[in-house]
Amino acid sequence: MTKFLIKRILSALLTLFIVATVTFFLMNMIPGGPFQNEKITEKMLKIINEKYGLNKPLFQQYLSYMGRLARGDLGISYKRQGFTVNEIIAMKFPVSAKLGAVTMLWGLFSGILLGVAAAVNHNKFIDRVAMFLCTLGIAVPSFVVGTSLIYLFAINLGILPYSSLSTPLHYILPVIALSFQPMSYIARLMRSNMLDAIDQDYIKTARAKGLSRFKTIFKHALRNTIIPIITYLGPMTAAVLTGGFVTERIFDIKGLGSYFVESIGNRDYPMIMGTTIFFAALIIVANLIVDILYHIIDPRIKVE
Amino acid sequence: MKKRIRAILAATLVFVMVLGIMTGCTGGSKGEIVAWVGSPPETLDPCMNSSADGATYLVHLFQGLFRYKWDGSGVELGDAKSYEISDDGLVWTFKLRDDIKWSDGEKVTAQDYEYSWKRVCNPNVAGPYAEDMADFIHNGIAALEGECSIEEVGVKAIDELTFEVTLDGPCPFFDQVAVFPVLYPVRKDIVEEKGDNWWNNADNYISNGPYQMKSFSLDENMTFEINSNYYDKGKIKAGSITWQFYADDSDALTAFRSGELDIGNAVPPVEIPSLTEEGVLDTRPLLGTYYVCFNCERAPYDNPLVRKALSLAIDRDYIATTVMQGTFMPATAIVGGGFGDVDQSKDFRKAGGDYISLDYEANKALAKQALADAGYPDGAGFPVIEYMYNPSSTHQTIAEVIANMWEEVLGIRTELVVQEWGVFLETRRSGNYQVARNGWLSDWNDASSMLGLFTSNSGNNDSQYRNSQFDSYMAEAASTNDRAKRIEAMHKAEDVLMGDWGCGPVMLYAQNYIVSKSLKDWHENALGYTFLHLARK
Repeated sequence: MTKFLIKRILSALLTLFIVATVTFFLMNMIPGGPFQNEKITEKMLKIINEKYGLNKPLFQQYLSYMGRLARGDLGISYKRQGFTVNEIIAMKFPVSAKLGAVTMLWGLFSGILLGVAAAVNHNKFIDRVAMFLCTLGIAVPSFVVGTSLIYLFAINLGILPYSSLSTPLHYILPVIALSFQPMSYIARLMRSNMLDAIDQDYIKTARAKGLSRFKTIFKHALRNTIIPIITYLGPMTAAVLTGGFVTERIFDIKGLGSYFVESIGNRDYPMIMGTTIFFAALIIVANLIVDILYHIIDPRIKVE
Repeated sequence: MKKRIRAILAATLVFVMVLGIMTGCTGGSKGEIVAWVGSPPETLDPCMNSSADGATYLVHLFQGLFRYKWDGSGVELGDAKSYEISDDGLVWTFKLRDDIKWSDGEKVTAQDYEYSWKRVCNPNVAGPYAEDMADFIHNGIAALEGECSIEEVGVKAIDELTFEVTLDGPCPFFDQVAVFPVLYPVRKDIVEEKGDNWWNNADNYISNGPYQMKSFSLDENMTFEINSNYYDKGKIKAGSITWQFYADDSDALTAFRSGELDIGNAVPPVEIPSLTEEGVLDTRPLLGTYYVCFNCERAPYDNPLVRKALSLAIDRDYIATTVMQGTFMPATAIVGGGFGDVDQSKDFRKAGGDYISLDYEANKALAKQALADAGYPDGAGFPVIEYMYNPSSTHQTIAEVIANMWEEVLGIRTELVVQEWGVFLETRRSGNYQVARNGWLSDWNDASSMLGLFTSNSGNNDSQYRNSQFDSYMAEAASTNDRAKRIEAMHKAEDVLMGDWGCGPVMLYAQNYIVSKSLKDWHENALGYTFLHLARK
C-alpha cells in the first residue's frame, strides 16, 4: 500500500508539472496580453510589462514561475491587483466546493435510487421513464438544463430563486442542473449492475431463504453493485468541476469557476495558471482517493 | 405520525416565510443609496485606475487639488484654495487649504501630493494611465522610462501647504488634468506598509474625500459613509452609498425591478423601449465617439475619396435613432458635442460646425460620386471590404447595418470578421486590418483628447493616419499658452483630418441610466462618472 501511495503521489506530481508547463506555453501563445486595452500605448505597455517581467524571454518567465510555484506562491492576479491568486482561491473555492459537494451528494443519491428503481422494475413503466430521463441527462448539456430550469421555475412559475447561493432554496436549481448529467450516468450504471446482480445465485439464495425484497436489494445486491460507482467518483468530480464553470455563470454564483473562465478572456496569466493547477490537483487527488477507497471496499482488487 | 408530518410541514412553511422576508429586506433604507456602476473594480488605488466605474468610486472617496463639481457641471478648486501660473505657463504653484484632513484625522499636506504624484511616475508602480499623466509633468516620462530618478520629477512640496508643479509645456487646461482621479493623493505610510494591495481592505482604506470606505467585499458590494473629517461635509446629502457589484446589466435590472437598486448606469438594449415607457430610463451624453476606423496605409483605403465614399454612405441618423433606439446621437465630426471651445462654456462642435451633414439622400449622392472619382464607379472593381469588430451584440448589429448600407449605396460587399477582444486590440493597434470599429471616450474635457488620436506619433493612432499639416496644427496647439490660439489650431487640425476623411465618425456615446422615481439630485458628467453626493430619496 505504501509503495502504491508513493508511486501514485509521484505520478500525480509529474501530471501537475506537465499540466502547468503545457498551460503556461499555450496561454502565452494566445494573442493579446493582460494589460492590453483600448487606450494603452506601446510605450506604457512596455513599462508595465517590464514591471511584471513579461518582457523577458518566455523560457525565463517559465522558470521563474515554476520556481514560485514550487514554493506555493501563485502570484498576484493582474485583474484584481489587490489580491494574490492564493487569496482569491481561498476566498472563492469554498463557494464552488459547497455547490460541488451538494451536487455530488445529490447526484449519487438520486442516481443510485433511480438506477435501483429502474432495475427492480425492469422493462416496466418506471424503468422506461427513468431511462428516458437518463438519456436526456447525458445528451443535454448542463447550461441548457440550467437555463430551462430558470425559465420554468424562476421566471414562469416564480417559485424558486436562481441568482447566487444566499439561502438553501437557492441551491435547488443549480444543483439539479449540475447533477443531471452525473446522475443520469450513475443511474444507467447502477441499473445495469443491479440487473446483473439480481440474477446472481446469492441473491436468489437470499430471496429463497425468505429475506424481504427490500433487504435483498439494499443490503446484499447494492453493496456489490456500488463498486463501479466508486470508480466513477473521479470522473464525476471532474465533470462537476468543469460543469460548475458554466453553471456558476448562469446562476450568478461567485465561485472560483467564474474566475477561471473570466481569467482566460482577461489574459490574467497568474489567475489562469493558478486556477488550472488548482483544479488539476483537485481532480488528481479525487482520483487517488477513489483508488484507495476501491481497495478498501473490495479487497479482491489489488492496488498494484 | 400524521401529527409529526404536520409539524414538519408547519416548520418548513415558517422557514420558507422567514427566508422570503429576509430576502425582501435587502433594499436600501432612507438616506442610504444603493447604486450599480460596474462589476467588481479592478483596483481602488487611484493611481492604478483606468475605468469610469473606478473613477466614480474614487470621486466619492478622494479629492485632488481640484474636484469635479458634484452636480457634474465642471471642475472647481478642491484641496487647493488658490493657484498661480508662471508667465511662461510652465510652473503651477498651488496653495492648499489648511483644513483638509484624511479620514483618520491626519492633515493632508503638500508632501502627500509630492509623494503621490511621484508614485504615478514610478515605473515600479506603472498604472495604466501613468504615461498620460507623466506626459504633462517635467521629467515625468523620463522617470517612467527609467531614464532619470523619481526625485527629478517636476513636483515639489515647498512647505506643508504649498505644492509646485513644473510642466514640460504650457497646458492651459491643466486644471482638467489635475482633477483626474489618478492624481489623487494617497497615504504614504499605508501604501508603504501594506504594499500594492493596500486598498483591498476597508480597515486600511484611508482617503481624503467626502466619503470613507465602511466595508468592502470582493464580488458582493462596498459601502461608503460620510468622512467626518471632510471640511465640506455639511453639503453632502447621501449619508451612505452601497455600490453593488452585479456582473452585468440584466442582473442589475432584476435588482432594480425588485426595488433593491436605486440607480444603475447600463441597461440591456432590448429593455430600452419598456424602460422608456415606465419613465425610469435617463440617457445622458458622454464625451466620446464611435467611429469606423480605416487603415489609411492600406489600399484602397489610403485614398481619401474611398474613405469619403464609405463614410458618407453610412446613415448615422438611422443608426443612432432607430437601430440604437435613441441611446446614441449621430456624429457629424470626430469631436462630438460637450467639449469646451475658446470660452470653456461654449461648445467646440457648435463653433466648428458640422463636417458631415445628416441629409442622407444628399450624402448618398456625394458618396457615389466620390467612389466613381476614386476609380470605382458603382463599386466596380472594388475589393470585398473586411470589417473587423469584437464580439458584442451592439458592434455586430452596427457592423451588419453598415455593411448593408455599403452594399446598397456603393455596391461594395463586406465580409464581417469577429475577433476576440484581446486579439482584436492587438490586430487593430498593429494596423493589421482593413476597416475596423473603433471608439474613444475622452478622459478630460478638451478636444485634444480626441484629435490627439490621429497624430503621426500617437501610440493610439490605430488608423495609421499621417498628415504633417495636421501634426503641425496639433503641435501648435500643444505649445501655446493662449487658449484662443490653441482652440483655433485644433479647429484647423480637425479641418485637415475631416477633409482627409481620416476616420468615419458614426455616433456619439451616451450612458443609459435606470433611476428609481424616488431618487433625486443624482448627477453625472460627460466622462461617464456618476455623482451621488447630493442624491436623496
